[in-house]
Amino acid sequence: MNSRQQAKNIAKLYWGLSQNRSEKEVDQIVVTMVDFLASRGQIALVSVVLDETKKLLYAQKNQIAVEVLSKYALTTSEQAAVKSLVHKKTAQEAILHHSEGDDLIGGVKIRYEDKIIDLTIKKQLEDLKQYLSE
Amino acid sequence: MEILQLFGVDWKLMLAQIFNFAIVAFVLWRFAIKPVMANMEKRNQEIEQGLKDAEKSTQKLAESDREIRKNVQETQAKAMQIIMQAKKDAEAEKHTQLEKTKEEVKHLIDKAKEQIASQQEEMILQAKAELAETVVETVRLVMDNKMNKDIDKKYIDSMLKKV
Repeated sequence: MNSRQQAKNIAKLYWGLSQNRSEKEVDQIVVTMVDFLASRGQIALVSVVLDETKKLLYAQKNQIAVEVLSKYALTTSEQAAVKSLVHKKTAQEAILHHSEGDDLIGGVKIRYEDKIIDLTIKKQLEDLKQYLSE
Repeated sequence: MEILQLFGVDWKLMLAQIFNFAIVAFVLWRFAIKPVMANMEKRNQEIEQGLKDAEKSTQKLAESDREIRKNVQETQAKAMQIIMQAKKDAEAEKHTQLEKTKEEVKHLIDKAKEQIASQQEEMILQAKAELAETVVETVRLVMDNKMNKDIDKKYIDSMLKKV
């Protein structure tokens, strides 16, 4: 079993245990889970488990985590356009997580689940370079 | 008897002469004519044998001559045949070598053509790659310098509409 699958299983367990619990109880479950991973020398899995837990949370709310990468911060209308695009493709509400990448030159890169929509100028230039080289 | 006496023939003398003649004839026959005849017969036989031998020799000579001529002709024919076969073989070998050489030359030419084509293709690909690198780098520099938030917004809007 790889670490991603292991993290998914732990996240499912953690998610199941946290249902209908108080915030204090949830905190205790998280501490227990972190201690468990630390005792097994797998503390690096904590972030992966949290990602998987987020996915479970989003899935429950019919939401999807979307990573958006652009040179400048997206305007409200751009964010709405991205959400609309993701909804059109997944029928789920997109929860955007933005980060900035200076080497993109311009444009936007959208990543959700295992899909990537690369609309950056960097990608366009790479395609152009590939086309010209052929 | 009277008649003999009438002609003066003495029959006693006559008998003696006949007897003498017979003796002389016998002696001549026995010691002269017969050996001479035998000798002549032997000589005749020798001559005939010599003639026969000469004829046989002539025939043998003629046969030998014919045999030699025949052998010479056969040898010449065989030699001619060998020469013709050698010529034919040489011609065939020459033809084979020529075809082989032609094939090798064709192979070398084809190989050289392939190499030239491959090198040309490689050069073209290399030139294209260099051109693409230059073009893209130039565009990247220009866009990097000219890019601002407004332009980026317009670009993102247009791209999102296309998806």
